[in-house]
Amino acid sequence: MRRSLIATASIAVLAASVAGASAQGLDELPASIAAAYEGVDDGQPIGPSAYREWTPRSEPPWTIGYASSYAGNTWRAEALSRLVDELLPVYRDAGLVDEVIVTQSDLDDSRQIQQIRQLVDQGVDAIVVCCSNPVALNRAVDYAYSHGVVVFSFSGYLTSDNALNASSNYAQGGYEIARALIEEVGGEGNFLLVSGIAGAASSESFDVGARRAIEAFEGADLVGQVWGNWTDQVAQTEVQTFLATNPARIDGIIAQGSQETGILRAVLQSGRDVMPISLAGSAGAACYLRQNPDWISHAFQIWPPGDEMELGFNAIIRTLQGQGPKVQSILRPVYRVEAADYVASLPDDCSIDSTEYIQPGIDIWFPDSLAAHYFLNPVNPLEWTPGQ
Amino acid sequence: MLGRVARRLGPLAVPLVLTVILLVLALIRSPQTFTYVGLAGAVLVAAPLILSAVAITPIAIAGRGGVDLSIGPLVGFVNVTIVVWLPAMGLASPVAVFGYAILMACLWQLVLACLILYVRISPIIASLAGYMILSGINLVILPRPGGFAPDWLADWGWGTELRGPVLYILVGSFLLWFLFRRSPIFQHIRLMGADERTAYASGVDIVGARMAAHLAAGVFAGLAAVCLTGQIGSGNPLIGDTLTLQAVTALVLGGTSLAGGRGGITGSVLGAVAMYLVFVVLSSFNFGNVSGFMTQLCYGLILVGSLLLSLATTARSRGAARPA
Repeated sequence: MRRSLIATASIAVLAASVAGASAQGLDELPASIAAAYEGVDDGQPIGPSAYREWTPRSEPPWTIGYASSYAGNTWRAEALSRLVDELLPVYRDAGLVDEVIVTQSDLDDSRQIQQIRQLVDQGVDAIVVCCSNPVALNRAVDYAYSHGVVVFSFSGYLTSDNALNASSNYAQGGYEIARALIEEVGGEGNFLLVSGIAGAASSESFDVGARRAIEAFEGADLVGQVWGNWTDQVAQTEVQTFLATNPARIDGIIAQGSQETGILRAVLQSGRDVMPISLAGSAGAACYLRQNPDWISHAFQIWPPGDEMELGFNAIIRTLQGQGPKVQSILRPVYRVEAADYVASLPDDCSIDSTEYIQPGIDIWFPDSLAAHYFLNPVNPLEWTPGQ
Repeated sequence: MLGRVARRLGPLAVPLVLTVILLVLALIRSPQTFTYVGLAGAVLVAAPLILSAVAITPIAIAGRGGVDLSIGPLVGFVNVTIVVWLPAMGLASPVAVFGYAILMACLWQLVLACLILYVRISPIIASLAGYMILSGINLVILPRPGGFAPDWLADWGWGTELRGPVLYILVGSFLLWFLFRRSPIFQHIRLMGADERTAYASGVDIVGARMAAHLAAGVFAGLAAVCLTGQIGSGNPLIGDTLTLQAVTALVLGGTSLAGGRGGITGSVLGAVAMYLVFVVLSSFNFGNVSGFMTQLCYGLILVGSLLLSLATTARSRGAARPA
């Protein structure tokens, strides 16, 4: 009798803990936010985070490491500039951060692994990484975790259970951006897809979504794909080559962000009428839209560099403050904006050769009201006090 | 005195001095690297580069300007197929993985050797074509980084135990090279690299020597791929791009002559270790928002300076060796 009572009680405790576990993570998010996780990459971890009740290895001010994987394009430069020139002074004044140590691995996994381990050994409290190989860094992340250091990947994800991630849902973003462009030209026609870097995870995710959208329209044909490496100059060369060797009519160019200015230049140089091109933050192409308001009715924000960095930095400071991230990956939907609003911030004398970015700003990209849903004990990181 | 030591060391003088200087700098700037765990991590991270540099050494010694540009994508090819093909075939044991990796890398090297020997394509052109072919194939097999290495292999990635499989592979590779170096075929490779016509006229089996050089490269490339897969625990179709550049740099830094006939893995290993230490030292500085450019700039300057010194030392030692 006693044994059966113990067994029954054990089962009840187990059931309660399982129910509790299943209520963690995504189930804690409001339905509207959880919807952003639909169709997410299979590999992206979206379970409960390992940092729900975590405390850092030291008190503030903290030292943050930025293990950058690349520094050779304007997107990376803008993200780094936001970190070093804008975020660091603000958080240093607030007494939260004393230093940001930046390393650069030039797309070499081995070097990035070495740098993460070195940053851990140097005594940093948290490490930010961006857009890296989703799997290769896992053991380095676990090494950091075992030493009380949190690793946060922004604008991409790592598959380690001990990593935290923040990004848009790129597969869904690719779908939304492609669908909007196809609808813009009447739901049919020939389309060119300008991807990022062949083999890069977020680039491939975007393409999967974009192809799904093209397949959804019977009259839409994908007539070509080129890779612009998220760099205007590369995208310009690739699109120029494509247009020069493919006389077929192109009704629209579906493009990943950070390269549409180069694509626009290629189209202008080809002498063709400028067809609609997906816009996602490049100021040069946005300037052309300002000068030609009938060109396209909308734009998107999928990975605004500075705002993505600020999202990651904001989230990592919250984690260090013990605010307890609920899920491993903070995912947000892509942000659609109408043309007039998109170009509103551009000056009259803007240039279509500009390499700047139009960004929605952190108040739109990751405001406190949105962040509050992702953390167990949310508070604006700059208003936080130790022991809170 | 110093000049005499430098002459005795020959082409090894510059990489040795550079490595010692970098070791001292690393000791000052990043002492954690020299703890037990730090060294374990260093061995783990540096092993693929060291073995890749070793792999291309016999091909360079074999002459005809034989720089194997395909080494990076080859290591990448074995890496992605270990995580994609082998699990599909139900093969995950250490014997299967090691056997497969070495076999595939040797097969590729045999293809290159046949192109060079029978189609008479210049080695650098053959390996450049191989670079492009394998880079494309890797992306077809694995469109983006992912997949999982067998558990026993992925566990190498912890890199917290110095006396582990990666260190044993390195030591085993050095022993293997030592045996290979003492074999008659290695002398044939050197003779062929120094002057192929004279070697042929002297009765050296040119075909056998070149095949042997490529097969030796295949063995070390296969081991490099296994170490790399253990390090990243997954497949990366893009890994080859940077690895080729680094391996060739380590080779040249180590004093192996691209003209053939001269060199050895001591120099290549020193070159690879020096490159690793450059990364460690540069990572210990905080260059802020110009870090990317400063790192590249410093890295390039160190390499160019070392290569110039290496060339100057080699020219001087040749001059000293020339009869009056």
